[in-house]
Amino acid sequence: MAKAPFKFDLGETFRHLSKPPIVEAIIHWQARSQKEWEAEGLRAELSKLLPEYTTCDPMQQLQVDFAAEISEDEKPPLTRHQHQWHGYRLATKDNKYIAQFTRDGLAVSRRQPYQDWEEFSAEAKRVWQVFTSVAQPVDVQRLGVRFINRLESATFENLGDFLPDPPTCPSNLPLNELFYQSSFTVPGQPFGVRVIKLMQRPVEGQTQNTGLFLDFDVYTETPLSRPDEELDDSLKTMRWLKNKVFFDLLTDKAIALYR
Amino acid sequence: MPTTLGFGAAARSIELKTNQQRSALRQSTALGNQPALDELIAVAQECHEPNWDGYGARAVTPRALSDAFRFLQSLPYGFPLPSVGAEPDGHVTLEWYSSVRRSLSVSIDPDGYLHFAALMGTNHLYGTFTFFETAPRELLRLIREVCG
Repeated sequence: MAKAPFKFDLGETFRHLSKPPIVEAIIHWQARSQKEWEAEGLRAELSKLLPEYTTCDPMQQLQVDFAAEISEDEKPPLTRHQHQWHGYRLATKDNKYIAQFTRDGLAVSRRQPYQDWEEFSAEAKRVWQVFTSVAQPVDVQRLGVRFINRLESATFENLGDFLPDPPTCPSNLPLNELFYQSSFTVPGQPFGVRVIKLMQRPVEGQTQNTGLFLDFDVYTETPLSRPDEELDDSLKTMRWLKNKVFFDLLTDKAIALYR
Repeated sequence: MPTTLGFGAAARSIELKTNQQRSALRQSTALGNQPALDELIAVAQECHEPNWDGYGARAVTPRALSDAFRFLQSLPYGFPLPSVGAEPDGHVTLEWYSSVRRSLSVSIDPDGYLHFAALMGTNHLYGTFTFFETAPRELLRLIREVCG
């Protein structure tokens, strides 16, 4: 039976999950700092403005540096890598909130256990206000809301219990790895959605990579020129889209595990 | 495609797998970008010190090279590839040339900005984009228009 066309209805509600399988929730503002940052000055300012974030580690950006020497036998040129400071990674004492300040934007992550959207988005917006004061960006080129879920009990054998559309196995060959990425436009809305499904063969002794990872990234397709005015509505819509996709991509049986 | 920045082990694992998938496709001669990367390496070799042109040119910086590398890596598979060069002000230049009246050049500066100039028939277009890891969609559209 053909599926109904996509319906954009912010009034549509979704079931509450008391044990959501979220391992990381992220709100990311891609916005270039208009102020020159000086490492020590910025560290002092951030520790004053965000005292709850007790750890402040420098972030390095990898730069590919091509070696300039050509050997006599004309082997391919060597590449070196340089690291350059480009911001700070802050963490709360319990390591549940991570804020990454770079000259290209701010990413605020909430790690397990995820509480609720209101608490998470309020904290992210509070940190965003700090970013705007230290970076003074003129616009937001891209806003992203990303939820990474881990469905621990999923295996290659029971994937059909979790996904309404599990991968096809040609000639019933046993599945060894699943990596599926797709992206979608939202009709009539300036948003896009990217979905990644990832399942890897378990590595002996490692438990954190088992299960099915479902990664939902909802993002703006156009810049926010007035972020202060547009932010709340954008986040509300993006969260709704995330929920819409999440509940559509899982079976009722799977969702029941997290209620 | 740009990605919302993650932090934890799951985010890193997904990023690693995504990169592996991309580089597998990039290795194909039909979809890869190796010719442009080879030219970028040549620019790095020839222009990494001041006065590389004998007329007092500025050295091309690791940041400009790095951004050029990321730009090239972010081009869609099978996309038209530019010729790569350097400018006396130390910028890396990517140029798409279709005819004397249809061309586009993108100049990548050491501060993370892309300056572009396009000639489309009798129209001249130019401007600047902030570079965030991937080629801006507007530039991709212009490249498609120039290359037909």
